Amino acid sequence: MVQIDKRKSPDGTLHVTIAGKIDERFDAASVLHDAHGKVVMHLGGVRSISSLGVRAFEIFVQALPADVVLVHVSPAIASQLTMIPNLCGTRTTVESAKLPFTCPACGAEKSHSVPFRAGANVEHAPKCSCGVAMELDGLPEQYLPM
Amino acid sequence: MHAAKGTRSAALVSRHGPTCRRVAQSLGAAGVAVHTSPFPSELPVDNLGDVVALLVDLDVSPGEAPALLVAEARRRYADVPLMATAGVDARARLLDALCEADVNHVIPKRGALTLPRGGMPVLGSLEGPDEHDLFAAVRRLLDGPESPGVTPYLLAGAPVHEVSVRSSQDKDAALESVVGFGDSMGLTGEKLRRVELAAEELLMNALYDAPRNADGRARNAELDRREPVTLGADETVHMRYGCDGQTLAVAVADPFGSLSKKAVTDRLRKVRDGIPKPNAGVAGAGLGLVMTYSVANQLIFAVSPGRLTEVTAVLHVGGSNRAAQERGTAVHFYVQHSDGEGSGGW
Repeated sequence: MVQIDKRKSPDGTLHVTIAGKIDERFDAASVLHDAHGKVVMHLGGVRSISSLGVRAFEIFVQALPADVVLVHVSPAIASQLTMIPNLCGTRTTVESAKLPFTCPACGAEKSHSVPFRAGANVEHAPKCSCGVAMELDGLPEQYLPM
Repeated sequence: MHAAKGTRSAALVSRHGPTCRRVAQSLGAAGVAVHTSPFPSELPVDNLGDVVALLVDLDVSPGEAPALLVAEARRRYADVPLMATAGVDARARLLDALCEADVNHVIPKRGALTLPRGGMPVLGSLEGPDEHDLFAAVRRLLDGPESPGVTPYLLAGAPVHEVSVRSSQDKDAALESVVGFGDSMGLTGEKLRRVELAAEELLMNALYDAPRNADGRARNAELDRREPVTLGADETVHMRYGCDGQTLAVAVADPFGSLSKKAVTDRLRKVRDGIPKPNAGVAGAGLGLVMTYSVANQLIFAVSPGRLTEVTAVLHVGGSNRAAQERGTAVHFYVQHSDGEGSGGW
């Protein structure tokens, strides 16, 4: 089940937070109704997306009337964006991805947002509380553009 | 070398030590003697007894098109199931072999996806193909492509759970059960997402793409996937799943037997060639298979045309998410009779 929250900022930008699972039942009509300008979508809480959810999400994003910025995209979304680079069309910018990191020294795990670009998993790797730079728990090409 | 009458043999083309050892050990454990040659042209053709498989290591000639390499080996063994393994540019070359040649089994070498891109590949850093994968593949070749579910892919004694699915509503419940199972084992984040994704795509395929009318035409393929469907009492889909702590496997079997290798390779070419855009239509496009391929470590298709399709996704969940991704994806295609041209969904 997907949860959608909306908030309008003073400059008119619509901030949308989507969390849960995106599948064939994904319905964001209420966002389309309220979106008259730029939309910033927070996708860090999307835990899963099915193939039919990918299509539903694509149709939704492309129906938005103005520029779209995706922030903190979850691994589920990031992996689709790397597999289908044109998924969200040319008016969409992917700013950051919230990805899983692990500490090679002590094994600690955490989610951390990095810019959505090649090499960001190393350049912007978080520091573990033990002082060691954490490593992406996955192949970079699965989650970031190459 | 002469083999005793009745001996089961396999021929391997490889000069990669770790690959030769792993193949010899895994197939040896399955009761199959392995005869190795460094080049396809040097494969022995006589006195090998009952040859059950032909394995070609595409790294023997990394610059050569996989289809040409396996064709040379194929000329020596006309009707033997063909397997390919690779470490250099493994994903693309193995998909090439699967899609453009009559190879039905592709297994990446361990460590293949961690090789640095470009430059001279360092094959010494690679291990051979996964031994459990090889063992299970050869056992299934020997035992036949019936519907064993997840048992061949788990350690002996691992409990197997089964759920029957006849409707969209059942599908949701089945998905809840497999996700609940993963959750109860402490799987979280990407591991749980991979399990859920694989199970969901297999179930959606069985409910919407696989069903056929009496005349063999796809019955539900054009339906909007939001529209619920119900299958007949004799069309029940069975989902089986289990885990041995390291490996989780999900198998979905339908009684239609409508999936063909061509349908699978048409979709997997998208992995190799890239997906410019998902199809904006309600179904088709094959994105589900591509996504399942991207999360599974093994995808096994067993088809008895008109009677049974069983698709099994095997996922490594014991180590880190990265370790699972580094294993890549093996694909196996077992078909009981001659391969038809039906699309079979996906």
